[in-house]
Amino acid sequence: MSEVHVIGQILGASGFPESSVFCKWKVQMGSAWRVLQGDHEGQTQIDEPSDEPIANWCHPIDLHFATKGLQGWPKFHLQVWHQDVYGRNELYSYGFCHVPTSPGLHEIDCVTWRPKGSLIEELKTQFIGGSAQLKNPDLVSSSAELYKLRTVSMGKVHLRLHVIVRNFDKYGVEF
Amino acid sequence: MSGFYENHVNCAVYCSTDTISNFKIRVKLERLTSNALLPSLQRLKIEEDLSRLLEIDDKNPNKTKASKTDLAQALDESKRSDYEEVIVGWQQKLFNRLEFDQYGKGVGAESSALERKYYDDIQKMKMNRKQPGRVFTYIEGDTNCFVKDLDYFMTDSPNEEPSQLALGINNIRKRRGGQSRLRISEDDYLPKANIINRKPTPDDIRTNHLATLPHQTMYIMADLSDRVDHATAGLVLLPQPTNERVLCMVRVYSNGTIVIEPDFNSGKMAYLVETGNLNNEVYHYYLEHGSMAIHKDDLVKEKKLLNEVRLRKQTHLAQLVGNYFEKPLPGALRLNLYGEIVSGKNFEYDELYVYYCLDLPESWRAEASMVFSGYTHTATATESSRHDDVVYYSHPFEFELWYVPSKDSADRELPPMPKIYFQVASQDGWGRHRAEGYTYIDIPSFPGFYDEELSCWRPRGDTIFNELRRFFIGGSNELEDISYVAIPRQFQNEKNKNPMSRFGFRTESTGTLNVRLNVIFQSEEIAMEYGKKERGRSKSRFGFDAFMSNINATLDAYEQARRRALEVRESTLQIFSPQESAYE
Repeated sequence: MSEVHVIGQILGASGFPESSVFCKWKVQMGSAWRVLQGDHEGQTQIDEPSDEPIANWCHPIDLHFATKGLQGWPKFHLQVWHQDVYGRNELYSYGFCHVPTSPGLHEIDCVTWRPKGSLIEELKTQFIGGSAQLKNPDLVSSSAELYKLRTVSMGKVHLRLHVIVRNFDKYGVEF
Repeated sequence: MSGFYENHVNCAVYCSTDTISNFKIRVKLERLTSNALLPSLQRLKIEEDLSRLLEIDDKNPNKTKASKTDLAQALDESKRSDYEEVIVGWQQKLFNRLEFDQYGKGVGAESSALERKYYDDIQKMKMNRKQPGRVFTYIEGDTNCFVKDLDYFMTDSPNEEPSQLALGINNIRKRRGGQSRLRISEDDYLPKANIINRKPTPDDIRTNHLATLPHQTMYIMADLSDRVDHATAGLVLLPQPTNERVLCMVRVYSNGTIVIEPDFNSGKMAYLVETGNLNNEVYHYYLEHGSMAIHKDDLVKEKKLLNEVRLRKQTHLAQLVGNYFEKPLPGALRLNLYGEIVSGKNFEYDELYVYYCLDLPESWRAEASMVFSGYTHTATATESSRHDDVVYYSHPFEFELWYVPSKDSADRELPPMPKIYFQVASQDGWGRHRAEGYTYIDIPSFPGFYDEELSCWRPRGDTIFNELRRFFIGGSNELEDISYVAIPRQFQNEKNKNPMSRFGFRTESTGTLNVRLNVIFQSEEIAMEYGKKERGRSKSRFGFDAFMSNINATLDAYEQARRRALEVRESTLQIFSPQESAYE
């Protein structure tokens, strides 16, 4: 079996309409993978920048996987949420991004989108907040059902990840 | 590491996990005269040369035991030349003359616990007729330690003011070594509740703002004022100015770090300190490590125990990981592609979706259950980008393919790589559907991470009629065969001598598509290549070259193994099947 270390951070987010945002993240992988050490899901703090439009989280990611095969390479599921001045949490957007396979440093911008409703619902979103949410966020990343969705693009989440792999060359795997 | 002849006043940092109460320093202080007991530099050098010469002559230097007369003489000498040898433990209080008089005066109602303790100690000393010597210590909690000023001032400028940071750090004197911020165990990254401390005490604020560990300090000092023999002097004693010099400063941090300044100098030159009085005398002193050494058996046992603990942790982790890994059959190269369609930029209309499809050439295989094509969701442009119209997809896709070269193909032929075709189309609220762009990408023939910007084009009819129709009611010219984007299938199949020509086909350039690809190769042949270059292993990637060059070797090995298995089967069948000839 081989091991993969993913060490890095969720730097922050940019391009969202309001800036007091936080991120719920989760790493999903195939059945051949197992998490040996580290949290594979979590939630960042709420960042409220006063001057610039970039929210900085610097949330650490330190994961150690063991794998029996190459299928099901882990990928990130991100949900960006917004907390407004009244303390209400509303979902801003979803994003998916593969953990890069080649070892080294990767700076990745994971783009996000949210489901789009009808015209009335969009007006509601504009004034009151809150949008339609996915019934099952996990299923969506498998890409077979996505054509049914209409979405609005939101902002980007910046990740900086270092990938270290071990014992793959014994089995003839090349990155 | 200072040399034998150097005497820089230096600072040494040691690390120890044993309890600090076992730490002892031996201090030997003596006034420097011609007949000093402590060996001077000259004498040490002479002794060293002598021993070297004797060894060359193959004679052992005699080590005589000190006879009784020698000892008496030595003691006599020590009285004259003020030789003092003290073993100081951690935070062990030794009094100097002033403190002896001051604390020994008596205890009142308002004396603190420390003063009471000192009084008791002094009474004990008086009972044993012990007088304070020259070497004394200042420990944590001594109020009249002027040496603490040395903590604040680093330069010799008289106008130096300590900064806020210096004041803050020097004020941290907490004894509690196990603060939750500092000792973070493996399982315990953050406290799950009460992350925010709403009412921090000033101590909390200081510890959290200034990144330093709690520490304790001890000063070993020498009192170099003139000794007045009380017995002989019948005059009124004038108050003597204190002449205290720091011999050594020891600081212990809560994580086991011990800082000694200056360092031990047991084999090197002695440290000198001058009194600066009228009769300027020079004292020299040695600092030696006087703690009891660990017993050899105990040391061996401790090392064995630590090794076992480490070994157990390693094997536990290795067991969790295991040894199995899925491998493709020999003679095949497996290619895993993890990609995502990230975003599209600057297309003509909004509400775009992307259709992607994979095209496999000859000798590439895939499982039937794999998804070869798909559609993304329909996305509207984001407001965050002001100059471009950007739509975000963040749509992952993955492919798993096998390359199995046929036996009759040329030995070192590089394979044709599969292509992924993309078609971008838009569908607006009125139901108008338009083709927005076509593009394609070859799956890279080298593994790694790729971030590509693919430019798209769309077909434009010959007349303006098509454009008008496209604008008003939607519907545009689309490609019948998407493989036209790269090399049309018709062209491949026909195999005529004419070059491919797209002359006359009118297109319009549209936006760009951003696609990320992660390509992984896996094969037995690559494993062989890694196995070969065991010694001079460079970080190069081998790719198809290794695969093709080793493929014959692995196929032969596979054939051999198969043949051997068949032979074994034949022989066992022969043994177990009845042979009629045996009975005849």
